Amino acid sequence: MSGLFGIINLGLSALLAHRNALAVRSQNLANVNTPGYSRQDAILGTNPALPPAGTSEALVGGQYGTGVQVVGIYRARESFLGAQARVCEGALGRFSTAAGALRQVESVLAPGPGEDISVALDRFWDAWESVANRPEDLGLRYVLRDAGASLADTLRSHVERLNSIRLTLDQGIRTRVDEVNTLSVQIAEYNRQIAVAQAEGRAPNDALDSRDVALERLAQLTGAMPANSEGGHLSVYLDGRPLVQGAAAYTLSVTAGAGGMEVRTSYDGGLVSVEKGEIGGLLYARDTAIPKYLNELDTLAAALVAEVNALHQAGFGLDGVSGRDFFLAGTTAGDIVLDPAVLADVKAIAAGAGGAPGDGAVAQQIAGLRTAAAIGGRSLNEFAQMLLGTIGTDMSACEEGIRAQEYARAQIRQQQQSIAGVSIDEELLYLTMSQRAYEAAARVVKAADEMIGIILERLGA
Amino acid sequence: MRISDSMIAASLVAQMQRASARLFKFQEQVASGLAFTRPSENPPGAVQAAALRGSIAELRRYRANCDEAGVALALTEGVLAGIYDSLRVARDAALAMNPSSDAGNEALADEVHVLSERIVAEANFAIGGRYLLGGHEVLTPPVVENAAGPPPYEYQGDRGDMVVRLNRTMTVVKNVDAAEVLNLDGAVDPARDDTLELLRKVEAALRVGDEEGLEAGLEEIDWHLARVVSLRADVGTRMQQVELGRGRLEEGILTFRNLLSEVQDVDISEAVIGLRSQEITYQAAAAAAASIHRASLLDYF
Repeated sequence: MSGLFGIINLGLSALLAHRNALAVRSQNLANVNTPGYSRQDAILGTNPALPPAGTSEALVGGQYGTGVQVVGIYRARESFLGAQARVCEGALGRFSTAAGALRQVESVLAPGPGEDISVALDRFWDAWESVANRPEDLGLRYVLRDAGASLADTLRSHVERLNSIRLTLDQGIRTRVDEVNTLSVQIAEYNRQIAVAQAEGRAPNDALDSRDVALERLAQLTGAMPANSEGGHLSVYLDGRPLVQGAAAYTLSVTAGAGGMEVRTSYDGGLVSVEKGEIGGLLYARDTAIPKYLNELDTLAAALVAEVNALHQAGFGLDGVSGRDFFLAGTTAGDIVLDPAVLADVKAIAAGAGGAPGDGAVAQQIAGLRTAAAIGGRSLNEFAQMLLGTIGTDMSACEEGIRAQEYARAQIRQQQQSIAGVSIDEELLYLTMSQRAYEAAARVVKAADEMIGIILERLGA
Repeated sequence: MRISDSMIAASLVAQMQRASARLFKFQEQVASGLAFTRPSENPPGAVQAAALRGSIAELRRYRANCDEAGVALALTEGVLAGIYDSLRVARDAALAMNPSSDAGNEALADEVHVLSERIVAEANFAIGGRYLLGGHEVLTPPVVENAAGPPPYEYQGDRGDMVVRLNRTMTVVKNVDAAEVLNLDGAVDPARDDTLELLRKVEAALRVGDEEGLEAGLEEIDWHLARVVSLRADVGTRMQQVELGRGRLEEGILTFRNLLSEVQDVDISEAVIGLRSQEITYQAAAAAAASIHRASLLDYF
């Protein structure tokens, strides 16, 4: 049976339990806008009833309850949603950094409608045709030389700007690898805290939340996925090698190699291939996409130099000299320039098949390169136009990927927030319930106290 | 489904973002008049537009070539007309020979002399320092006096054809050279005199009253006149060809411009309607966001 002091104790247990429950509610309200915070719940349970079952004490009406306690603090989280979110972040990270780099490439190759290399080529062929019509006109030859120089400038500046984009990507890769290393250390430290707390039987809810945030950012950077994702022994693997194993963290390092950026792990010093995440996207842009465009520009420049020079060699300048180049032979897109003889004197431009000043036959042949097949059955102009298609397709594939992943992420986020997010109205209701329960418990204590007072007054007087 | 505050906020933010992205897209279209400005917005369209712009540039070039050839041919036709007229007058002078008037014949001979000089001047016609009838030798007069003559004049051009491209497959020769017109150096018929030598002979026959010589000379003049006429007809045909080509090019340019417009230009009325309806959507989204966010239990506690 329960004595009066038992009732006071029972009231006290209720006061404590509801105060604690209210503290949990306050924590929820305080963290309503904290990223990665999982809503918590104080789980209330009854205290063991007295007398314990199996004792021989004579009972009146059976067992009496002894109050309430907080038996645990529940963390609202679905671990499979976390895994989905990380997969999604890994893909999204790759698409978004690759798209950022490709957008810059696009603005180099197609600064605006009607401003691509094929337009510079058109101006170049136009200038040749004008010279073909009036080969003796020095003014038209100056125009042609300028058009040739500006075409060469365009190609060179494209290469230069693509290379400078690559340099900025290097910087982006290094900062992100540093961030990965910091995150690995953080996760290892959370692992340690979580292991200790769990060994002591406490719920390390806030450490779990913080670790989830770090894991998500890590997935966003590299696509690395954790194994054994609950508890203190979590490991994170990237390309089959650990970044984190329990309380141990391994670092990544990058060096620029001949074939591209090399990422190595301190785990065994081996190369790690990073396909996903922001780093994967940057590596793709740096070592696959941009080299592809540089290569295309080189192909274009090589064909331009070869085709124009071959015809130009056969022609005669106004000075009667033959066998000269128009573009400096052996140059690529990165260093294409006009031949020194042409630069020095426009009379060196070989417009004629013979030495006569009005002979524009060779200039006309060169102007005909506008439509002549030069690279794999396509004209130089068509090749330059195809470049727009290539960058456009690469870029729109990335944007499509971003859209799809963002949509998926929004869905996952919504499900996550549906489970783990804090609803202010809901918290307010629970808060009021705890408050009222606390008031009621206080009344219980007061009632018991008054009853004790009655006895003391009546018997003591 | 349980709804949390962060969910509402996130989805409102996402909706507002989407709405303003669409609004921005329409605004961009209306402002630029273009359906897309970056290749990634429409990769096949970008390639097509670039190819169309390239085709238009190519056709414009050919059109400029047509103008070039047309001007050169018109000038050449003028020169041929001048030579023809001079030859006609010289023929009349030869016919007007009067055996009884030495003084009159002398005057006719002087006239023929002047006419032959006029023909040389026509053959040496230059515009902007560029000789028309010298083939590729455009910087030197094609017909110069021959100090070691006869013949009295010699040709110093190279008889080169000035070829102008009218389109991918068609070319036209925009010049006629003096040797061909005047049979200089026996360019057309080695057995015959050149026009200037012939006129020199006619002039001499007039001075001495050589009727037989004049008779032969008249026949020769007719042969030369016939040559000039046939050359003029040839030049006329070429001019027609150029004009025809030019007309086709104009049509082609117009067609390609229409195609380009279809590929790259935005349908303005569609874009404006899209912009308006998107504005309304945006305002509705904003109003909904505001009203959801206003409702709170906090107002009742």
